[in-house]
Amino acid sequence: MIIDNILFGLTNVLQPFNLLLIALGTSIGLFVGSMPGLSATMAIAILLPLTFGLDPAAGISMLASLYMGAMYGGSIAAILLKTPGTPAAAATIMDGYPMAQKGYPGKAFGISLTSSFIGGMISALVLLTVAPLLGKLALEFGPVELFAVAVLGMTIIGSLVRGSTVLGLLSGSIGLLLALIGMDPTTGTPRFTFGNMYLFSGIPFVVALIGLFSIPQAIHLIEQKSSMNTGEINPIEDKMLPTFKEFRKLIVTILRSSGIGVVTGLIPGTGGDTACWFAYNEAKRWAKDKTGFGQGRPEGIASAEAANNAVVGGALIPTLTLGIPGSSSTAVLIGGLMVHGILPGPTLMTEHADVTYTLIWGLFFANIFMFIIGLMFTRATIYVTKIDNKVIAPLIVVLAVVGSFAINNSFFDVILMFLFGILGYFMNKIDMPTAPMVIGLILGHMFDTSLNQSLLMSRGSWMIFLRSPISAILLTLALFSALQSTPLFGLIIRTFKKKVLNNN
Amino acid sequence: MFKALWKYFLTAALVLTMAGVFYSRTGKLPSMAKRFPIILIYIIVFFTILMLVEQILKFVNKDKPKKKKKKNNEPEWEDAVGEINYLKAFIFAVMIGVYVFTLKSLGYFIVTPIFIVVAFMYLKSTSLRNSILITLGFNLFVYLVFVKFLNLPIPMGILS
Repeated sequence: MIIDNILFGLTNVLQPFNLLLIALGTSIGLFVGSMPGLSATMAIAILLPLTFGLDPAAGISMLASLYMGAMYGGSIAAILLKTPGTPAAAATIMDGYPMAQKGYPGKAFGISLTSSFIGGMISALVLLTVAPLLGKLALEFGPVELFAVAVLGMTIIGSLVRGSTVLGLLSGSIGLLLALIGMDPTTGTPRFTFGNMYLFSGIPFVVALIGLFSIPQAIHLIEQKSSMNTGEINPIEDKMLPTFKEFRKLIVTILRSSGIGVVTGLIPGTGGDTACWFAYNEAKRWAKDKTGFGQGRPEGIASAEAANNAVVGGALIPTLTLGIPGSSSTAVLIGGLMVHGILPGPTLMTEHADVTYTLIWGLFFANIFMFIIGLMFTRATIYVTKIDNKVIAPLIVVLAVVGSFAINNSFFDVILMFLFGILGYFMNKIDMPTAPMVIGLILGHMFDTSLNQSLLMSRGSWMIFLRSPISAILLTLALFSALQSTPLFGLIIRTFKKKVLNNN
Repeated sequence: MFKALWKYFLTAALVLTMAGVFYSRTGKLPSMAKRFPIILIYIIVFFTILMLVEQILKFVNKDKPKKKKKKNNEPEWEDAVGEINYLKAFIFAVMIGVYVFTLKSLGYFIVTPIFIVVAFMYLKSTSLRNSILITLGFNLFVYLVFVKFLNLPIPMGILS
């Protein structure tokens, strides 16, 4: 069955139109990634409506390719301008920029592209092998386990986002509450609709995420007095691809960093921005000769770039098997599935296997296209970094408006998108992350349904969540993940250590 | 202290008001439909209070000397972010609001070119000639992709 699905996905992705869309998605990703200030998540969100008119498998594969392309694209501005195109390319600056300054920008791009390609391929391979097995296991989950998975996902996302854990968890909880607006799935009663008929079907998730990810970014692009990309750009004149000797020296670093990227991607709430630093520091730690890092060491570029591309496949594993998005970009991809009527969760690997396996194979081809397009067009793409953010910002707004209207042919949705945009802007200003809110909006329905079903099964006894071993373990982990980042937890650990030392 | 933390006090007030409004609405719901929302409302209130405590503690401990722990080599670009022009951000947000609210009556193909050109002029993005050319090109792109290729709806307003 799994083999059949894998083969079906492969034949589906090989259709010329699908390959064309994957190449298009990768090119857009490269373009978006190379522009400082634009994120892959925002690009996926505003281009999501484009998939309405397409076959779901082809449309989602295009968006996943965009995600992959943006990961490499982010290194272009990092290497040339010392400004990461995406947060995931932050560590690439450390050695990419010095190498370019020494007169080898082509070599820096070549290492970045090769490492991105290998990292992406490894992550796609892990996704293809691990996801079906995990998906099979997830099919055994009942409402009790699903509730525990959702709680764990939510607490990990809330506690691992950058900045304050409390703000992350608060953002996620608000997202969950907003997701409950609409008809209650168990009793069929309208909930928190305030008499507004547009809210009977709930807050359209895609509208909310377009608003949360595009409008704040558009305002952010114009609010800064100084533009970041004003420097002179020298054309790339040196050779791009590394020689076999150079490649052999880098392969261990690339493989190790790819592993780090996949594992980091697997953990909900962590993404390319965490993975790139983790891999960079490990490359430094494992290096026999530790000198030269920060001055243009090829291992520095290779580690960061392999890791951030490897995150893509890793982040898709919990997304496709459990319906828990590993990052904000995969949350938007889930939104893409939802607009086509495909609900996230374990059934993605069975009932919607055609879409899921096409998407997985799409990642392999996105990597191949990324390598080819990167080799052919990186020299030209460097000029994209010079486009003024003030030109881009109004166009982002227009695309957000058109996209949010296209979902239900409704002006109410456009207004809702704008309100979520303003909300997202203020959340950014107080450093409250928007990703947990989006994930709360996705998981709210699953939370509510699985909780009510579990309590119906146990006739109202909450002990049901502790009777199932899987659920008990997951909920204990959730409790630890929420507590581990609180000052209280640190205090307990310090007191415990002190006591142990005193006893000894 | 209030001056330094006003953003968080305002956030707490707004979140607690929202939680209060939602809580008041749970009274009419069947017990099963209100179970999860009520749990969430309690959690939201708890985290809101925790947020305030955290920010107040941060403010109180702000002046205490700290041992700086360097996790990794933070790049210089993080310091290169320019000063924020809130007035410009506010005016741009108002422009977006006007654009969104006039879309229904006037339609996409009338309001959008006006919005883009006015925004470009206000932000001093490019010359008037380039603004008009970009606007025409962009709208043609949206028309071809959304209307012609994907058959997606576009608000036509008075042109319908």
